[in-house]
Amino acid sequence: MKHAREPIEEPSPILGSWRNVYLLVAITLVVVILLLYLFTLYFQ
Amino acid sequence: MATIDWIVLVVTLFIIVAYGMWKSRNTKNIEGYLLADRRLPWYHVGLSVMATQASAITFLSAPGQAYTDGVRFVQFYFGLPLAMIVLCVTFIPIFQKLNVYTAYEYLEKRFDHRTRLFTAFLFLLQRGISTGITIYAPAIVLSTLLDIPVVYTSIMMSLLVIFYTVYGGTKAVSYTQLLQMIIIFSGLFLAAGLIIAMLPKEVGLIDALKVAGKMGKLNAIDTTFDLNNRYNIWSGIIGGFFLQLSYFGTDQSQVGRYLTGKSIAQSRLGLVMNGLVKIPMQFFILMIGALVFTFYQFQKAPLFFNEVEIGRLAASDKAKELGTLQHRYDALQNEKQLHVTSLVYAERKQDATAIEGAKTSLLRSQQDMDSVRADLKVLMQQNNVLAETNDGNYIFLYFVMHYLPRGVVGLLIAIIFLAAMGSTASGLNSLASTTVVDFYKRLRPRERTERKELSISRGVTVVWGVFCMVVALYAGRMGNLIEAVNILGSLFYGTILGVFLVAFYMKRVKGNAVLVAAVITELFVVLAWWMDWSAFLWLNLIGCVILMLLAWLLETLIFGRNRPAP
Repeated sequence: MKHAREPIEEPSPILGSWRNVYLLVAITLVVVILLLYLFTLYFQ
Repeated sequence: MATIDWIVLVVTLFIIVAYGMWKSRNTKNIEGYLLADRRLPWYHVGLSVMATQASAITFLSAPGQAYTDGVRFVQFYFGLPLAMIVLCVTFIPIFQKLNVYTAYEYLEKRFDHRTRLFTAFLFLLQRGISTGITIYAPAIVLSTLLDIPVVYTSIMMSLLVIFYTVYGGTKAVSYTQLLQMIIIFSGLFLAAGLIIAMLPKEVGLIDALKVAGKMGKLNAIDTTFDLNNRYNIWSGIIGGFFLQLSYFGTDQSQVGRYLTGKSIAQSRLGLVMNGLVKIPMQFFILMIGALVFTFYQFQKAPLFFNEVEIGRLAASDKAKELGTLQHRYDALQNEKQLHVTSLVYAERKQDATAIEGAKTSLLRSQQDMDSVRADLKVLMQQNNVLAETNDGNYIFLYFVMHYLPRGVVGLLIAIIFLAAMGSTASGLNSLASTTVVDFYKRLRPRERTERKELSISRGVTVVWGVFCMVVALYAGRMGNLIEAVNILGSLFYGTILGVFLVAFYMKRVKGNAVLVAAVITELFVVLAWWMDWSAFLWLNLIGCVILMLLAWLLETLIFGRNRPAP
């Protein structure tokens, strides 16, 4: 049986807002790709 | 395997399984069995999501992939963090607010029951086969350990996972995955450290990596745009984004993981964690394969890594030809080691001419060795047409079994088993959820006791377990397993994702248009793969875009023409 359930919408517990959290994920991706690019160039 | 390894293996597995069963002992209804009562914190959600994706294949095949093809496979994951953001913004709030068990329930609310059933069917087909392939990976390990045919170990492994999933359900899966990931990471760091320690004394890590780099194994980023190149930055970011969005957003084996979060925020944080950690983790696993490759530049590598298969050839009337090939291979390896040493010294002196000369000689030796291996594979097939000639999945296993110290071997084998159990159990659990919720309960709606529903869910889990076992028996013919699973996913994910994106963002399009578009798109994607029109990652994008365009056209030109404006 499925119980009626109100989802609990909470603000982001870190970085002030969800927008900042998503920004962190996107910036980390760019930094990781950049580091891997430098890694490839160095060892090629 | 030594006694201490067997003890480490059995004790580690026993602790994990017992802990999972104990934590899930109070499961009394279908919500507890399928969604862990939706009470898990973010770190459980995050680790569970990661452990579900990181199957035994990840730890067996990924190092093998890096050994043969370099670390460029890491680009496959570049779309994942972006997909996590979209999931957090759109998918999680919708699924959590509607309080659904499966992603496909939403499609009936938005379109109609036919679209729900068709999409759920595509998922079942894809996930059923994928889970079978996932079972095959640890069966390879067991086959090597016990020296018995992989057919029997596939059956043994299937029975173990079926038992674990049927009695534990999602709670057992989620709770044990936390412990599993801790053990997995510890074991992998240990393995990496040991490989580095086993390099020759006069060769440092940087020297070794430079050799791997010169041999094209550290090709993490490829910026060239080529639709037929499987892994480059563009296919990774664009094709990978659609693949990951579809996998995490519409594949019940993952949706079922983050629906266990106790709130939208906890589910979101779990996915954010995955978005931050996944690429470095995968790169690390691939680097282990590159390090194993480097190790074998200074040590003799076996002619073929699958010892069972080579043993069969040695026992056949082709043994003499095998001996000749082995002799040629050994001579080439001696020659190659001289070139490797020259390259290391040339690198240290920064002598560009000497580096280029040594590199050319080294690559030529490698080509000659690859040619001997190609001859070996022909010989294997002459001896037995059904011989498994792809040994990529055995490379890391061979290294673990032959070079790592006692105790560590047992731990690494336990890791492979744990990863297999986590992802296979999640797969079986999602197959059971979708079959029970989207088909059985939907097509035969009536009042049932919670106990009855729980029994049905467990029974369905067993049926899917048997199906996956049958698939596992044939998985050996699918080449590199990590690629096989992702190619299979790419055949269906574009269509499934397209249906969900139409549901979320194209409110005007109704059920008839999206269903017809989904059927046509799926046929087209399968044809595109069959005709080899593009690398598989692009199929996700192609399927999704074609479905959305087609659904819009069908709605505008045919199905929506006589519908009154809202």
